Amino acid sequence: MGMLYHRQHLGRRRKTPEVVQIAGLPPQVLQRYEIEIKEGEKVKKCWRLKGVNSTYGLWEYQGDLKILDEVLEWRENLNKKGFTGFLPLSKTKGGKNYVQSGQRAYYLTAWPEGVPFNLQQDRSLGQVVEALSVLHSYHKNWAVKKTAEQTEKAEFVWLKAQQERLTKLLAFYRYLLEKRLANDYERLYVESFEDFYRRGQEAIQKVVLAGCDTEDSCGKDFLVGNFLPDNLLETEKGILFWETTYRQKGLSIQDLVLFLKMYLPLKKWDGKMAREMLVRYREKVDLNNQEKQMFLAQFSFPGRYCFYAEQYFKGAEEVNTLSSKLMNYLYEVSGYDYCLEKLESWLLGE
Amino acid sequence: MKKEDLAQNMLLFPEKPGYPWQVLEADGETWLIVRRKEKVSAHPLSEVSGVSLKKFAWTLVYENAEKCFYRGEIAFQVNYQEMESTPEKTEAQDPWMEEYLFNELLLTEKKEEGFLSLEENPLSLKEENRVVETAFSTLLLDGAELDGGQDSPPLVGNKTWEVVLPWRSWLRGKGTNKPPLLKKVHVAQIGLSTLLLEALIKLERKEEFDFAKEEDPLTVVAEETIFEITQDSVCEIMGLSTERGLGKCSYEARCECLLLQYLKKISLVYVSSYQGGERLSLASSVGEESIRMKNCAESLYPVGVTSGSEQVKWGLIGENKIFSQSKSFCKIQRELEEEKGEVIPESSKPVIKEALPFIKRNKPGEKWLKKRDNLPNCTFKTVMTIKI
Repeated sequence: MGMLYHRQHLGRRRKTPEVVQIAGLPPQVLQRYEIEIKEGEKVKKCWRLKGVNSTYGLWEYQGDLKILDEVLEWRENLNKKGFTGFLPLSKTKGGKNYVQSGQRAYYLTAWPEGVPFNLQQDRSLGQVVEALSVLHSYHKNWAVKKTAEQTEKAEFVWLKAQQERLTKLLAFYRYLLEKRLANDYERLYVESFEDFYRRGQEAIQKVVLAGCDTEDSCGKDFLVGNFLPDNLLETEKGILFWETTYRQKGLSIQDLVLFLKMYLPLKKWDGKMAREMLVRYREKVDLNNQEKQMFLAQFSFPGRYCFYAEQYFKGAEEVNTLSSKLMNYLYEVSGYDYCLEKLESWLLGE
Repeated sequence: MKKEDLAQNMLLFPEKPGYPWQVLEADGETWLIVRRKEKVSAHPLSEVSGVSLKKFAWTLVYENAEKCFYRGEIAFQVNYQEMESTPEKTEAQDPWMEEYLFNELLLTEKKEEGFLSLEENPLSLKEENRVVETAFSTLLLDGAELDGGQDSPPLVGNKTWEVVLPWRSWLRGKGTNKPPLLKKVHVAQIGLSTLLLEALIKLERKEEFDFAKEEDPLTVVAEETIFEITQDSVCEIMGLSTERGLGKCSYEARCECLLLQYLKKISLVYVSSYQGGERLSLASSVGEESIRMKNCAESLYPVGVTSGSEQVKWGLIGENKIFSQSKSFCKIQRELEEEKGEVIPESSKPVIKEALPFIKRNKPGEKWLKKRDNLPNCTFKTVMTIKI
């Protein structure tokens, strides 16, 4: 009798999920989910966890938990509406979207199957635009949830940040004028500064004039913000964004501008291709006049020029490398201008 | 004649290149650097193929025993070539990453890198890492090498940049004028489509100083100096000039000698080793100079003091040190030379005989008290406010 009890007891104990020790992951996190994990490993920014029947991704988050709450709720809503670009979230035993452990939070998602994003293929680029258009079509009809802390409009935060960058450029320029220019980077910078500063100021003026000031005039919400090849996965259902806790809000059109500015240089600023991308985007999102103006204004802001300047003045990269990068960028500019001109005449001439 | 030897080390600080000219006026010589930079094309340039001197003319518009003034013009033709097509990327580049990082840092970067510190010194890059060889083409020529106005044969695709640089300058010193000399010409591409041209002109007017023939008390100081130039590297020394100013003469009773003190500015005219930007440069150092005239035992204030320097020789040690041997001299004039100057005769000298009249000072408030006395009788009361 005693032996039988012992066997039954052991059998019952075996059924409770075992807690697997995974390097760097607090053990109590997994206990909060209804899953049984066999093994796990850290893959870039998350843990890939193998369960009995499926694979999961466990993501670590550091920062304001209120924002995480909001972002995950945003994702969940989009998933419910049928958007397949984000990984589906798993709830904790208590029905929450994440587990808090100390200063960090962890959230669990499914682990998708797919192939890495190929930035050289036009088809892959088109898929990202497609995914963005679907995402932004949901934003269009969705009132932005306002938090108590949100005192400033999202677009003004971006505008201020851009203006600060331009002011820095001006300070760098004035500093260099007082010195003897010592290398090609400084000489190229001084030669090109006035043109790029003017471009930046004009872009900011256009953003202000575009004036997405009325609540529903432009789509606004959390931005994807990360279009690095590592963050994109080509699945059967289209492009999937791995990490989506970018935390910044803004005009939806900013995501499209960022994506195009990241990858169009690889296509030598092909105006025809840029137009095709926009056509594809507009199949699902109808851009109003303000959004068109906003798109063109954001597109014309010389972000990489500012980035190189900051890299140089921080001493973050070798002078020769930066000189070469700036020189290439300056060579690119004629193509960039041509592309912008084409888009402008096409968008505004309609 | 007394002789004294001095050995010293001095730091030279490069001066910021001036546009459209930079002048160094010293005793007996003036160095003039004329410069221009210009965006010569809307397209990127591939190389600077040549430079020719089209004109070098001047007029002496004013002259007296102490100084003269030149007005002139120098013209060049610079030949360059434009790129036929935009070059392929020279180095691996990830534009997607850079655009992403810019966007990422736009809102997340720390605010403490604020504008105040930025205005003061925005450059975190170490000064020694700043100077890097240029990838653009440059030309450095001796003035004598230039062809003097002959047109170079036209090359296919060659473009020209005509540069006319007017110049004018004072030249201080006694003696005969030597004709202005074009010493160096430097042309460089400083950007995708910007060219720089700089030319160094020397004006000279010196009288030979014969130490042996001097009758007045003379002190000669032989100096050996090692100059070290900061933040630059010297390729060729063109000249070393000394200027003295703000002189003061005192008497040192203990040594029974006259002490002459000056501010002395030593300037080096040189060609910098750093290619790419301005290469014809000036570097200078200001210091004090004290010379004891030990053969002037009388405690008489001198009527005149003449000082000067003569460079004996100089040489470059490594890339940033210059060894110099020079002679500085001081000459005292004890009495006025009556036949040359206008010495006022004793009889006509004004003598102050009367002392200034004593000015009586009013008592405090006396003026107002008088005014009150003149007023008709009335019942007004005076209110006085005293501010502490």
